[in-house]
Amino acid sequence: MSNKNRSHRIVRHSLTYALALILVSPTHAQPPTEHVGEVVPRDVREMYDRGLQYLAKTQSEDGGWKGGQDGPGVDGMCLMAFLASGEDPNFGIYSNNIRKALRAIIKSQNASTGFMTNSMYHHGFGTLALAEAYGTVDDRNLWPPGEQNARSIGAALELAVQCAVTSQKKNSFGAWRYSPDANDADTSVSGAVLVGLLAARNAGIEVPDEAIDRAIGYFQSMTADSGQVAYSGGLGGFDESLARISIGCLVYSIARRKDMPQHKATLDYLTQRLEQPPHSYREYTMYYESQALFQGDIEAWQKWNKLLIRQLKESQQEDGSFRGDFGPTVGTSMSLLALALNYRFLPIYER
Amino acid sequence: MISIRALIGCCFLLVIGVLSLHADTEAPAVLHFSDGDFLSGKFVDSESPDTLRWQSTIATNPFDVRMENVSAVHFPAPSEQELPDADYCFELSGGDRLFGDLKSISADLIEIETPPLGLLHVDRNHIVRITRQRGSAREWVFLGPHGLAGWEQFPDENPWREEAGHLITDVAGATIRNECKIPEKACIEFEISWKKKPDFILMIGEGPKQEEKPKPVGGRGAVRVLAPVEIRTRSAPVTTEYRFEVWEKSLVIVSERRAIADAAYVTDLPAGEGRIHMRSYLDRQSGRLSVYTHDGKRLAQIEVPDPEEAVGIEVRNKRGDIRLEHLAVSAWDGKLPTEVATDKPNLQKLDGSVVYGNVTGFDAESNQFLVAGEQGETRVNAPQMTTLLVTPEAATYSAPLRVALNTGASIMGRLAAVRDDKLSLQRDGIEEPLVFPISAVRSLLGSTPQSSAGNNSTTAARDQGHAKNEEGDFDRVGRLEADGVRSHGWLVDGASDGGGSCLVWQPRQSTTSSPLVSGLSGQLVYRDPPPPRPQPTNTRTTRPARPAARPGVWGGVLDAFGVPKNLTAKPIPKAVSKKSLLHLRAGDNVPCEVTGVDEEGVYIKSTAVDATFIPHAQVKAIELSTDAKLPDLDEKKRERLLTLPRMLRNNPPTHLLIATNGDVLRGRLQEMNEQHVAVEIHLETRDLQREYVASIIWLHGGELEVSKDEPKVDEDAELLVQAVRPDGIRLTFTPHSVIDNALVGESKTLGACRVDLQTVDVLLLGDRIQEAADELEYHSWKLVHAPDPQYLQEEESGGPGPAVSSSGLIGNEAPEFRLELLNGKQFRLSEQKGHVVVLDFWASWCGPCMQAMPSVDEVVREFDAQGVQLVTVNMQEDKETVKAALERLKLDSTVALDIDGATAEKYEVTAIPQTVIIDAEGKVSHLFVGGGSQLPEQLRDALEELTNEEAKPE
Repeated sequence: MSNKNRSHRIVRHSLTYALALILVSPTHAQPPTEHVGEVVPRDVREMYDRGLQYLAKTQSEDGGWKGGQDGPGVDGMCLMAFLASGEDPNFGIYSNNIRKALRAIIKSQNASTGFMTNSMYHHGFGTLALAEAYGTVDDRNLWPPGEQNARSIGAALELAVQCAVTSQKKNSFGAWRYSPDANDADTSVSGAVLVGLLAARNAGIEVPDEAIDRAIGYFQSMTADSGQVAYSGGLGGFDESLARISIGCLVYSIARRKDMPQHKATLDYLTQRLEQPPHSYREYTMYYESQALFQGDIEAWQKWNKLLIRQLKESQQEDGSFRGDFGPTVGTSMSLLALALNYRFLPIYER
Repeated sequence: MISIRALIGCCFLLVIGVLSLHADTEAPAVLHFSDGDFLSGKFVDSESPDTLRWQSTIATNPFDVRMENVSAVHFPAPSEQELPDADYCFELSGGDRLFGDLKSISADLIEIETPPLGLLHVDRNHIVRITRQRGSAREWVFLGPHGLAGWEQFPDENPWREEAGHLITDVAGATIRNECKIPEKACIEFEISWKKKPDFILMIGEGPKQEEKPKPVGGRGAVRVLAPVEIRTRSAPVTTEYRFEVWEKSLVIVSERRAIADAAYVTDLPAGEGRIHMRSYLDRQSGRLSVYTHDGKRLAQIEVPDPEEAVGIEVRNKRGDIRLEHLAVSAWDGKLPTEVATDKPNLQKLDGSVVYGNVTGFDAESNQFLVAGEQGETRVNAPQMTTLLVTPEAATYSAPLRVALNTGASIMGRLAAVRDDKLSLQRDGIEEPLVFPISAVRSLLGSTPQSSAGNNSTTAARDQGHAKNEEGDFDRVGRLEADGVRSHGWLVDGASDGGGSCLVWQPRQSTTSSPLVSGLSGQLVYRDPPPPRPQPTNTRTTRPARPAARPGVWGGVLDAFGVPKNLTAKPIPKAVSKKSLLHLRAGDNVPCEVTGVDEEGVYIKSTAVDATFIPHAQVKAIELSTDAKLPDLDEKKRERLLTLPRMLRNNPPTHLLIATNGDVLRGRLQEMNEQHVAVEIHLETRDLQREYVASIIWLHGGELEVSKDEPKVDEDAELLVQAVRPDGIRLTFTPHSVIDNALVGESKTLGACRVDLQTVDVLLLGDRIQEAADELEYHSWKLVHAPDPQYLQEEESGGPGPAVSSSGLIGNEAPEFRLELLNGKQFRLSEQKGHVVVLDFWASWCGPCMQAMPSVDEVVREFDAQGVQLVTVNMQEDKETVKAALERLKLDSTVALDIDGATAEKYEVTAIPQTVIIDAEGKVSHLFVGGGSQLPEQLRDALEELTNEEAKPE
């Protein structure tokens, strides 16, 4: 059935270009999915739905996800996967999952410091998830009556931003490391927190310019002319990390600093290596690289996205999950979020 | 409904292959037919005389085979030679030999007890001789031959064949060898016959080795000539051999050593058909070889002392024909046979004396023989007897079957029955039936075949390749080959009934047919392939080189986005027709028209099959034009084309597109229709005109992975066949029935199939199909991974460890340096002489360094007492950073600050952590790069080695 349709499409295609000589411009032969705003391909939708069903099935009673890595960052990732699907967050089939996840994230937050335990990774991804939910999820009835710490999404987000800004102020690098009180920094944790802050600002929460500028400065200092991004400490290191390069590239884009040479360097690095597999942390790399390319170079993303879809189709498990370095919850939510650029529903994906 | 209409072709295709069947835990016995066929399997019970019922490994039901069609049944040789445990060896008429104990002797009968046959009453006219076995030092080394098993043939084309267990050849130069050990004192008995001309060498021991230079005869030893033969003046290489050799019309014995040679005339050999039966006695210590007739007449003797260990018996046919019928090698007590009259009954005694006369009895009680001699009855104590000649002129005897036992005994007879793993035989001259457990049998040997004129009326037709079936039609005769099986026969009509496949096999030697087993792997050859054609491409020396920048089809496509190229240089040929050939991974070849390709698979129209869609997973290649051929690439280019770079592992190319001009493009075929081919190259889709594409090869991802597990064998799976037609068309399917010489079945990919067996060259069966497919030309086009860099390979084998460097620094004077320490003091390497120093280059931003430092610190501390000193060299970081890092690691190591990186440069640091060990003399002894879990252990080993050395006194 679908084959028939497809062959009809080919026939129409070929008639259109029957006049072309041996060579036909590549744009003519590209699949219909490439145009921004096109409908999402059916196999992506099917893959995504199966992944969400896995997450829905594995969500625990208290709203979080257990097994492998867990905590508010992981819950936030799952929450975003639901939000990114385009299902109505308030009345759609996953609205309950969304509300449960939100309650779990907010409950994990320290009411006074705003820190979402137990590391700034979790805090960063939790902040991002809250920012993406803020304004789209109706939280008037989020909490059952009498619940302690029953903050609204907005209140929780403001508190989270405050925590991140306070932590940054104490940090001589102007960035973040695992502990909110750490005095050293790395680009991986800092990326998580900074994207959270940028998303909060985009959502209308006040984030001091100075905080963004210092963090961007830190990333600049960690970005080599080649486009490689170092991990921690000073410049250097002998390893290449597509994940860190993507993080760098992404934060420059979202912070609206595409004019920076570091943005160009990191983006060029990625676009010149679209087929290159990551050395490690496959899902983590896919999660960032999809966004970095999407924000940086939509045409490169289109090519890269084709490959992503092919790979994820092969690696999706029978139960809809994706395996990963940090367990199936992180593997699944990050893989889905890498795919979610095809939907473009999350505010952070706006270009 | 899809169907296959098999077409008849008139040219024939080659299929070469060796077949395999699942090996059973124990090697099965093999039934050899007199026409050269063989079937591995086992006996099943049969009550009909002179008929074997044989359960072959390839069939579900047994085949009934008449004895006259059987050449031999060989059972696996026991791991150790069983020696007969008996008082006597009884030599019977016709050359039979039994081992056993004597019970009684009467005027007509001799009663013997012989395991495993039990008590036998033997007509004394059938007993030629009784010899002492126990206590005679007559230990058998070789008794046979029972066919070719255990023999090595030269040259390689197997010039020898077996018949009734005998070894036969008429090929000039054909040599056969058995590596049996020749005892220090040996008796070697042989019986050799020929039909036309005797011209052979029988060699005991080892002949000249090729590398050794021949030496001339002569020197201190005398050359004795005992007979009217001349010794050829040829070289005498170093050997251990004794040779029986035919010179002109005489048999001689010859032996040559470094400085001595001896030869002796043995006997004249009759022209035309003839036979010799001799017993020779070799004493290697003295070098004496004595030759006697088998019944004790002395013929010749030579003496060539050179006591070396001798191994092996070898027979070489020079330019005659030869049949080795009997060979027995045993240990010998050193006593030569007494000259006795061999035409009169007699008893030879241990002391050499002979009592002539008939043996009239055996007194078991007193253990004495009674001999009626000329001087009346003589009593001889049994232990004194060595040989008792009972019937000098015993009747000649032959029977359809000879059974050779593991003990060396052998006996002829007619097959009466097979029951309960026991073989029952009837022999003239023995009253009782002879019942052998099959486990005691080494070989079953059919008698020499009668004239080959068949008694079956269809024989002539079979030889023509067809056999008449019950309906009067002719079934096509083929040759079924599988592991342990070569069987001529034909498929009879049949259908799947659950037990075995629908292929019912009728061997031409059998009166019954049986379904073949489902797990069979093999092939049924109706027509042999022509000899392979020579490959001209390999021998060609000159070939025009392709221009580096090609204005070819792909060049054009790829250049279209760059600088425009002059495309008019050479016209590019277009495909000549739309007729295509679809190659499936299972080896199927289907002529068709390819109407399109999409994400799911290939769409075809075919007159040969009604299938219209083939999924990608099944496809190996399509030839889009009748003149499509594989690109002519040299080995290097082809290797490059089929190597997947590491950076493309995420996105391996899935297809090779071959242009009409021979250009090859690697990419991912996305779509194809009547005019266009869309192919993705490095994530960009390009559009090609189809008329310039000659063929497309599929590169399947699964082919990349080398499977470590044995493929699972589904025992219950139905037997798959692949029909190979003369025109090269191949179809793979599961057969359901054979009706009227046609094989009918169904292919998962192609649908219903029907193949006329008259039009098939070969039917491939079971696993053989994939083996044959792997040999097909398109199937060798597979991607391989580019090799991983060393460090990744090391990680895979045994976890991450430091690369033990083969740096040029090792063994050399450690470069001198002077650095400021974190505590403000100065460090100068040259001041440390007399101590082992460990340098650890690190930086705080280097994760692996931070991981390795505590363990390095810990290991070096173990060697405090030996004065080993650790200096960590920080690379270009400020003091604060260094201090913070040490605090985090809770270490107080000595840190030298390499502010400008000059020291790191001296130590060729290109990756950190790098750990360098400098011995007490100031030389670099070890260097590790990369940290990892194995570093501490390697460091400890190195330091132990060094400090132990230092502890040694000079």
